Amino acid sequence: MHKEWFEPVLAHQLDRVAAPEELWERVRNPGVVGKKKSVPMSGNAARVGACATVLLLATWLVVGRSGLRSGDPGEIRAWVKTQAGIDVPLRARPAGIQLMGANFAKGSVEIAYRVGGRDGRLRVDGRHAGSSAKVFTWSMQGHTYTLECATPEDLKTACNLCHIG
Amino acid sequence: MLVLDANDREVIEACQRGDSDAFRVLFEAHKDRVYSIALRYSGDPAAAMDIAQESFLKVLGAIREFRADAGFESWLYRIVVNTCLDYQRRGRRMMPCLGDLIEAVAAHSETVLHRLMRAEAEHNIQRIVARLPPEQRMVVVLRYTEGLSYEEIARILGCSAGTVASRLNRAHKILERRLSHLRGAVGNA
Repeated sequence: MHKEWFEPVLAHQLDRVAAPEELWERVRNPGVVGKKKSVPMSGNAARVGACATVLLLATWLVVGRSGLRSGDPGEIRAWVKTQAGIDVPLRARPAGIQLMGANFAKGSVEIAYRVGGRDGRLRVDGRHAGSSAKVFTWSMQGHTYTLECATPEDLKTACNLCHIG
Repeated sequence: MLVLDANDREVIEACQRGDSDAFRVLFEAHKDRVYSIALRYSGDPAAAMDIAQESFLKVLGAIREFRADAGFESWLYRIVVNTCLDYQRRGRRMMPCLGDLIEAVAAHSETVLHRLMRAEAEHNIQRIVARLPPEQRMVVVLRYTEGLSYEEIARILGCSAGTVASRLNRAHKILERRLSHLRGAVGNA
């Protein structure tokens, strides 16, 4: 097979590299964002760094403290389970719904999605209402809905209250 | 090449039973591959970390659905490839910008201009590859980072080997033009 002159360059420059050590920590604790190594700064660098920090902090506060951006139901489900200990039985291909990601703060999970180009949120509160109950609350058309189940598995059945199997 | 050996099978089966130690073994075996594809595709270490993290979380979430008679590496490659493409579709940053600028400004012994020029030279090829259209870029990464055959790439991407060859050919034409300034240097190396 004919080999282009630049192929060895590509093979060299695009060669496999070692993954940073912090990757395992990020996989083990998905809510933790990796820290960049610190660089000695002075003068303008410190100012640029400070501006960047403020910008990142503002973004962090606005966008969400502990979040996952993903359209994959399986990934969102695994992340929510890891973060909140709640197994939300998201369907593999929810019809007409585009999943956007999830956030977790103060014991509550928020799963973001879009329907017909409009934003929506499924909020799941992991706090127990009773001795072993799981309580799930959401708002729709000005009303607040709450589902109370003995186990996360019961959610699947409980959804049949409003949805077709 | 994309076949499981007996040890891999045991590790995967242990992962499917929820053994966290086994998942660590699986992670260690494949972390460099996953991260490298993400890095070479995105051209940005921060994006590569996000993609690699997402990929492993997907593996963790879906490992029970993996069938032992299928090729694990092909399955893993598909997850990484899809995560790369999803990441780009979501409009995440795929090229270094702010981080490079801060590091450049922070340099003590060089002027900002020199630092930027040197960084530009070092990342030239990576950046040129990162500017290829996504489908061509992924073929280039799987070919040169992973050393996969056309047939293996075709299986991962779900297309024909002919399509792989065509994408690679188009990528080569772009790369040849953009890397032409290196031709003399390569010839002398």
